[in-house]
Amino acid sequence: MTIALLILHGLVAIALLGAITHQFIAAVRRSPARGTAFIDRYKGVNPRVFANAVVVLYLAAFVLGAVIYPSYRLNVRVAFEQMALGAAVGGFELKEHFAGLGVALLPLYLWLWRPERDDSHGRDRLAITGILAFIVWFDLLVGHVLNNLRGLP
Amino acid sequence: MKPRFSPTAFMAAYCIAYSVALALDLPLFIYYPLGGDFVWGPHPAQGLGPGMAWYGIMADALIAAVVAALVVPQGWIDRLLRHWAWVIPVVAMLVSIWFMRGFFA
Repeated sequence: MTIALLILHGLVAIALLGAITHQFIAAVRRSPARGTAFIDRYKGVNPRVFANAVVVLYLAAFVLGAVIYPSYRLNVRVAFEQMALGAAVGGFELKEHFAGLGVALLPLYLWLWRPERDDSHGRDRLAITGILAFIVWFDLLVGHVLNNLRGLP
Repeated sequence: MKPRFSPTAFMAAYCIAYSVALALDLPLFIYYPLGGDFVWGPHPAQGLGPGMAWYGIMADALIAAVVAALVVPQGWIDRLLRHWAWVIPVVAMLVSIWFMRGFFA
């Protein structure tokens, strides 16, 4: 059961990574994309359409992570400590703290992506979206590396 | 009447409460996964196996955030923090890094 939840956690995280990266890059672009190249089309989407999906995916990944966290604490972290892999333990600690802090950003993130905030809060919107994107990338990469070091039983 | 909710106050209070709870080691409760026990307060219990404070720190932060979001007017805090609200979560993340630095020594 834990393995199934871990796989689901990873799949949701990958979907979240795709959504928020796409949104962030589209939001950063300064002018509408006109070309037909892949990167122009990638940037050419309306970034607002990702906001609700990002929140739902973030919360889903967060809850799944919180559910399987005790299994990590009992079966993986203890092994890391026995192997003196302090950086692995620390990496997971940062992952959990960043994920927890990301929850704080979600209501503001949604508020900032409302159409009426287009002109007044562009900088805040970009910054908060960028921080969330950083958290998602960091957490997915750290989780992937740690799972390679020692997976859940 | 629809209750007002300030997303900026929620974010700010959550990040500050989270950082304070982490810095002072003050989780609302500690979860012991070996037996599925919850123990109120920040003091580790003996004989229950490894404890997990993260859920308790999250609970601290959520309580502070919900109260602040319901009390602080969004218009006021938005004017106060406009263009700079992002600094608060960045500082909270740096606080986390600082308190986890011992793992990387």
